[in-house]
Amino acid sequence: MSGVSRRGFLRTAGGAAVASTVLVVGTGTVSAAVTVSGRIVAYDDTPIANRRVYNYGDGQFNTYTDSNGRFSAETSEGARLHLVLYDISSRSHDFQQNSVPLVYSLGDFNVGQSNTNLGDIGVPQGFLVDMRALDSNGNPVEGATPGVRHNGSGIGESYISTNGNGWAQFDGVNFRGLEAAGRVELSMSIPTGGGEFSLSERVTVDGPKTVTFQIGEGVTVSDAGTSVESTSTATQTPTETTTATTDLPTDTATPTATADVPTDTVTPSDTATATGTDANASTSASTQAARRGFFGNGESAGEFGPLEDPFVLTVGGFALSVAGIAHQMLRGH
Amino acid sequence: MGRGKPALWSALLGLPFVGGGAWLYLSQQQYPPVFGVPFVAFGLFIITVGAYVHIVSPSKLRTGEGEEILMTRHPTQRVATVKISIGLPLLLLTVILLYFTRIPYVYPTLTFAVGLYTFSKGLYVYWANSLTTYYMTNQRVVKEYRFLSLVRREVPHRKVRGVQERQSLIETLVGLGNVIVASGGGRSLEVRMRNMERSEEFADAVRDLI
Repeated sequence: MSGVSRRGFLRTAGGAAVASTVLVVGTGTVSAAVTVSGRIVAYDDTPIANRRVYNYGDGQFNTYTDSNGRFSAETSEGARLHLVLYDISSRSHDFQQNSVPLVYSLGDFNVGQSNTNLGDIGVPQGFLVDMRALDSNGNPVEGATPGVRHNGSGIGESYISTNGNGWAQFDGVNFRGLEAAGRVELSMSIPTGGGEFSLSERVTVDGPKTVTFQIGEGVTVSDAGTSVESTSTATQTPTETTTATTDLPTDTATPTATADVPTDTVTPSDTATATGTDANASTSASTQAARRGFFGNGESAGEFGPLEDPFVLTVGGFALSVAGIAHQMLRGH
Repeated sequence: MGRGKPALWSALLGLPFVGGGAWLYLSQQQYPPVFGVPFVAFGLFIITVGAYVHIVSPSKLRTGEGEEILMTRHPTQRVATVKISIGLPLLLLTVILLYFTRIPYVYPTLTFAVGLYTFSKGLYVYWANSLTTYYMTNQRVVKEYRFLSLVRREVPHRKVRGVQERQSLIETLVGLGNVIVASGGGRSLEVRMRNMERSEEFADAVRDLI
């Protein structure tokens, strides 16, 4: 085979390979839109109305349930959804005590090749979690930032902080704490003179809890017994304090909806549009995405440290590149 | 991408990084502004090195008494073009995957590693080729490379023991070749001329002189 014909062959083969790759990738990435719908119900089978449903899986979307608890949104066919419920109104960030957890990961769901109805998705009862920040001397800290995550998804820090007595409280509400259900990760960033001191603890919320974060002492969790309705300045003392290392019961709050609902459960009549649908909208400041990991998102995140930091990845890559180029250029061919 | 304009081409390649970094720094809310700094720094590195390469062009070979330059060649930039053309889309894909999706980091890390390696390799080949000249005189074969300092490798015709021609896959696709002129004394005594157009012609000319 002459040089010219060999070159021509290789060019043709290379072109065909590139064209095939583009075709395969294009076919794999461009998929038709289908409608996914469902209904979110509370532990007592009442619909959870006007609350946010966020999909962190394939074909992200952000929508709200209607007055009957129904939601619908467009996503790509065959998508795998990871749905999270936020107890946040479609109209305002009116945080309420309504026995609905502030953030609850509803699980993963498979979408079929056509419109898919996920059916009723149950949410367990939310209980009040009263969180308090103390400094190393046991004095309350104002302006500390609480956080709560369920299965990696969490509520943002924009609307909640500790008050003058160190108790976590949303802006503009007349009750302390937040509602949670199941096994959640509670955290508190406590400002210090030179920065922040962060504490976190995984807690199974199967009833009202009081959680105290103290610099130097760690986290203590106690059963509050009754929810606290007022914002009085009286100090609430835990009645039965256990250390954070105590083995807590396993997740007893199980959603009634089962993850991985069979696909293609199509009910065309059941695709009513939820009020306030906001497909593909960006995440608002009040919610946080499921924590992003190296090999997977959610609870497995955080195992690979710096590799899960886009800034470290970017800086590391560019630094290696510059060093490599400089080394080669200085050394010559 | 033509030889002789490394400042222009490097600026064209570096400006998207500067622009992307400026956007990350000034015009978005999702990530801290500091995320734009490495992009701007990398873009400025490309622009600066390109301008430097543009300035430090190789000088004409100094010849001895009775020595005559028979042939002058420069490496061709097609291999660099191919590598940069492959690397840039992968880097763009990395930015999309890393900053505009929430898929696990392993995917953008893979595209970043492959894309940045290919792009950087293409940049290096482009700059190194811009600074390299091959000469064949009636007495010797010379390869001259100047970045910060001058590196000149040469083999006198009387010491040439072999001429080898090679083509990598990319060079085959773009019609280039390597010519290795060896003195038989090991790798330190050979001149390796890369990315050369009509490499067969050059190799035959060397063979005719030995």
